[in-house]
Amino acid sequence: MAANRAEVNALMARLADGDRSAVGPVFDLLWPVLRRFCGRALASDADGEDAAQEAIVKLFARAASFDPGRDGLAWALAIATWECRSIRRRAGRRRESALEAVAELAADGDTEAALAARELAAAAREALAELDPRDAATVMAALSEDPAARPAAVAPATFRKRLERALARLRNVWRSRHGAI
Amino acid sequence: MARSDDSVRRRAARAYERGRVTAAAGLFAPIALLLVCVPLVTGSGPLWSAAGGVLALAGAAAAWRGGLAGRAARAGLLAGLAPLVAPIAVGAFGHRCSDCGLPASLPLCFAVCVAAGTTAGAILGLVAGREGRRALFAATAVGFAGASGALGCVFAGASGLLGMGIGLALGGAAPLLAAARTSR
Repeated sequence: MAANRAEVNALMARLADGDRSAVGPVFDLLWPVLRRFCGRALASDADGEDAAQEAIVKLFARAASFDPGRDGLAWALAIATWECRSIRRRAGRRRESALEAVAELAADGDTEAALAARELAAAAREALAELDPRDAATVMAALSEDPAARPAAVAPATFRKRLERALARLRNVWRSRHGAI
Repeated sequence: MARSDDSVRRRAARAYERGRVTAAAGLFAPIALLLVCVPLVTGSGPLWSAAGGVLALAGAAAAWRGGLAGRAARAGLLAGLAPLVAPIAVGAFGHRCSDCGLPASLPLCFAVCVAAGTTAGAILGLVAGREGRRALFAATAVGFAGASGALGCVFAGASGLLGMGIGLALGGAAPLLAAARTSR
């Protein structure tokens, strides 16, 4: 990695100076690094791929303002970290909106039903929090009405299988917490 | 969602070009404003103002392209700001450049153009001293600095342009000679 780091710095400096011949080598060096980094930082493979793509595109978009005195690899990883955080925040918002939808079901009914729905939503949230983040994301994607919430990179059959396993684990968690389903 | 590597590579290359255009526009927009407005403010006329617009476009194009030309254009236009705003500096002394007439006020205008040109020349000489292809860089940068400075110093007529030229040569010579001597 030490040799790569020096190479990345030299190539990034060339890129900042407008040397188009450095575009390919910079991409070849940084794309696998960013993919690995984002894949590890995010639970879902599809999210990791998305974050890596956004990070590499942003890196190239900002390459003209790269300061050659900085470390190119650290700069690239900082952009990737930011992208991973953005994707996590988006996933969190999707989860919240799906749970809010459960609470809204009771909004038209009486107070007792609303209270029960709120308690149910809170219990579901707690049970989901105990799941592996990937399982929780699968369940939330299945609950969401937004088709974009489902990972497009995953085949429908694979998604169904994943959902089946995630629901089985959710059932176990629910049983251990509340005794019945 | 998952694109092939080639598609990501193409997106990255397009983003790179977009980023360079944005960076060049961000840097040159304020300079372009000065290049277009100063000749109008000093009464040099719309032709000089249009020339300023063309110069700004040429500078932005060079900055987008990058390399030695981009660096030289940036340095030249930034250094050229000194003679460009010279008429405004003269205005600070209570002199109105648009009323500039022979002979009383001319020495002041001439002196300001020489001083501004010297400042620009010294800056370019110092920057060029750090470049590998010093002569080419200096020639390109002086071209941009001279053109942008001319838009300001033209308020004093031919003598203003001459004064700026003398200043550029005087200011740039010493740092360039020093750099050439140390590199030997």
